[in-house]
Amino acid sequence: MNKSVWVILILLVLLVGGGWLIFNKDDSSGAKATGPIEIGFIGPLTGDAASLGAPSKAAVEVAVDEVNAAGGVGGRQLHVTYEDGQCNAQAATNAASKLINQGGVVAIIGGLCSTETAAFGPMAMQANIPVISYGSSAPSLSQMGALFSRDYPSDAGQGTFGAEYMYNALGARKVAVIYHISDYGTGIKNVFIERFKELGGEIVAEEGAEQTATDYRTQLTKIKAAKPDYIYSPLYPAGATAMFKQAKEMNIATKFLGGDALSDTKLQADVKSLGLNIMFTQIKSDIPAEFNSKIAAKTGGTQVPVYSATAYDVVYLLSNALKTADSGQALGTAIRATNYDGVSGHIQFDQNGDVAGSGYTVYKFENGSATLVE
Amino acid sequence: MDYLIHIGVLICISGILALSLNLVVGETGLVSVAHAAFYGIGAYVAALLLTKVGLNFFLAALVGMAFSGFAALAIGAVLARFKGDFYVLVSLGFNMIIYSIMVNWQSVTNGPLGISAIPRPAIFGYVFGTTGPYFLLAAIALALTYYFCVLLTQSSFGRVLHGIREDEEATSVFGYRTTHYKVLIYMISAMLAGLAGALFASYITFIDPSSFVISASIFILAIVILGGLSSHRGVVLGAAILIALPEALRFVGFPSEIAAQMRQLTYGLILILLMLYRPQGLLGKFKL
Amino acid sequence: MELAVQIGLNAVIAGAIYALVALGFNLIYSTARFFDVGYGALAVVGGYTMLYVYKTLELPFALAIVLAVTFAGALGWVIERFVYRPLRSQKASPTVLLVASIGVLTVVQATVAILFTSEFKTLSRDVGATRVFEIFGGVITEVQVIILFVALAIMSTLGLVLKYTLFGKAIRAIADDEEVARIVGIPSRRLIGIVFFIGSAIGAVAGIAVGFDTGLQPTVGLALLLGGVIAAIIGGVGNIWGGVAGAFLLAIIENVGVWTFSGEWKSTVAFAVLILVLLFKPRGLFEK
Repeated sequence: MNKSVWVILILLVLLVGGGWLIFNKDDSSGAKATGPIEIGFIGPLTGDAASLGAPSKAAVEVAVDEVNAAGGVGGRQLHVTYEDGQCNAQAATNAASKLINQGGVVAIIGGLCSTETAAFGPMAMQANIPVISYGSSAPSLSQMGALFSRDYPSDAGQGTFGAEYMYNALGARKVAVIYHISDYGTGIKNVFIERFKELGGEIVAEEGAEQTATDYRTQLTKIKAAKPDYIYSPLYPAGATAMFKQAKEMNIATKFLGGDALSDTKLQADVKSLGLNIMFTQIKSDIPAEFNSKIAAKTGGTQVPVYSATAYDVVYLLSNALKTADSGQALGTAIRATNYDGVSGHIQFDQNGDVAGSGYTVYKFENGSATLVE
Repeated sequence: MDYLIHIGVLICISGILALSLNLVVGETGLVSVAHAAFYGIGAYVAALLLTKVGLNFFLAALVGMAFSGFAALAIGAVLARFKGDFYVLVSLGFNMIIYSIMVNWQSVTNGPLGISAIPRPAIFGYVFGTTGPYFLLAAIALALTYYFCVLLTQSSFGRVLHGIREDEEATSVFGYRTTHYKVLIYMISAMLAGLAGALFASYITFIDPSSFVISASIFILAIVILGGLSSHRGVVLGAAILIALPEALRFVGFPSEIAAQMRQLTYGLILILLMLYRPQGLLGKFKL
Repeated sequence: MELAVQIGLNAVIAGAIYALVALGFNLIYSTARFFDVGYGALAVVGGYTMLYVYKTLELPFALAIVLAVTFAGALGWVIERFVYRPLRSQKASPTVLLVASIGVLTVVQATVAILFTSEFKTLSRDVGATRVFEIFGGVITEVQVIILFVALAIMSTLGLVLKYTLFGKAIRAIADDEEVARIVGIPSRRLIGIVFFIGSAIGAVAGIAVGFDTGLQPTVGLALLLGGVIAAIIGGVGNIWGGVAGAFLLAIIENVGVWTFSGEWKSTVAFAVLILVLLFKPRGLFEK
């Protein structure tokens, strides 16, 4: 028996050690000035959030190919190593540790989930590696440090905008909230409720559900009984599909306002026949149709989430910054100085590394897709 | 090199978890699937004390262990009334309840947004800031836990535990109050898990409830079963294998779309095959 | 009033699905005497097979149902034949079987996720076309009414079969004592295989019902299973009618819990009920 244990151990050591030797080779410092510039990417490539992570990865690949085809940065090519953060704290730190210590990267693009970024961020800060997230929206990330930036806005912005739009433009005074208990749903909901009460509105019901829940009936029953003017629904697409269907079945005619997760095109097509009145908020961006078809061609899918555009822009703003600084603090400062018009909109960072943002827009579900309201 | 040390730290933390769960599952024969809950309580209490109160890490870890222990006293007292399948199911239920509290008691735990900026341990002005020293700290903790578990199982207390495992009624006939022993070992085990949690929190510097779900408990149980029930060396080996394997797979490169599912599939197959052909695990001495 | 009616209807719908899961689970438990966690995965297999034959291949509804239910049943039989039967003949403890079935759940769930992705899918071809009935101000959809009647039909059939047929008597004999049953000439192995087929097929019906009513994800199996298991246990494990009563009771408590507290605590309420029932009525509320 003991023999097979040793065989397994030795195999493991060989596998890890061998991989380490192979991937560690290009770390020799002499080649650095002319060799490729190493960059890391972290996002959920597996698991439930992979449907968002995979198109983001594809967008980075497209952008890197374009930059390299145009001669790279100062004559050097960009080389990106893609690691899976699994939307999980421990996996994200493993990925970052490998990138920083084995990959010798000068910057990390990622993560997508706030959990990933919150977990590996401090490790990167400590190693003096700038991090640019393309999708993490938790407000607390603003305190990460001088080397952290994100071109995807904090939920604080979206929740505040949602509350103001609800109160001022839609004239709602009594609002019910149904949300997913997650960094995204809970985060947006907290900001929304705080701002909406500040404005003088009333929250008549506040109902949470697990992210994997498929039965929203009792929550909806309570909401229906509270007779709200509007229902605010920061939900993920899967749960939203089930929730909208059940709302329709329960004859809830109240209008919905959701967050940017409702920009999912499959959801819009799925709930088309329900005839509900659904709107959602999203960062103002004029993503050109040709960009979406370019990414869709790369992934072979049909859905291009907004994270693709922000991830694509990160590559360009990073390569601009790399023209003036090599690495470390200088690179971080150069990234913070970004002033760039990308596919996701105009990008400029404030003192916390949050994208100043060009504001938010509102879309409405119509005939299986979404149209701009304002 | 830092990467390998990072993996080493995680192996040490999982090793402590596996050693502590083995005291309950391997030495006493009680299959508890709630270990992630105690791991999480230790992590949360330590993280809150470190960030909100500014307590020293070593004190915070002790308090975290104490809280895990108290929770285990209450839960263990209820669990001691059950056997076999019901024991498994009720422990699962407690894991779910603790997880719900972590997610929903937002004013304290910050809910799904988690606690960030947890400081690294410091003693006499020295901070275990980088990976290398932290590995030393984690390795010392693992070694102490290992030594403690060896002593415990060789003591007369440990022999009573084995007695309960082999034949609880016979043991109680000899005048041992088996319920007390079962609750006590459950507490000790939970406190060690709390230690692992405190180490995890201050190492990653960020925690959220998703690290302490039921599937995390099943993962720890899988480590113990793979490594070998009632074998201290075995369960540490199990931790090393199950932590290092997915990292090794990073270098092999499964097509990324299915890699996570392939990992799950592998764990499932390992469980089935072990049960069929080697229910005591690689180095185990006891069959469930 | 309206509110109470709607909460009641929600509970009846949820209860019907729990009852289906509990029926199959109880049947398997009372003959094979272990907690078959893998059973949850077979409900998912039923749902996804339906998705494939009904939505992708666009076969007629009746044929699709027969195919999906038969496939899940057959898979249940195969798993019994190649995993549980060898374990039983090794005289493995119920805990070993439980751990193996956790492996089965993990493997099947991962396979489904690889084949169908982890995305949320619904079985209805046209989401908006469901007819809705109104009862005293509460609403219930056509699909839900059908589910309710299907559940009642399966319950009564199973109840009658177990009580009055030779097959039912043989099953009950095995449930009492497999050894004795075999000695008196009951082909227990073959019958247990059939029980797994029937149980899994009932589970598949539950999976299909969920797919039509709300929607499918590969991970839905565990949630379904836990609902069914808790229902079965508070009703009294192995007691067919008790399980059904337990299912509706659990659904009512859950929905009233969501109503009085909040949706976040739904699973906590379910487990708390389980633990309380086990503490005070260890053999279930509806003990025979």
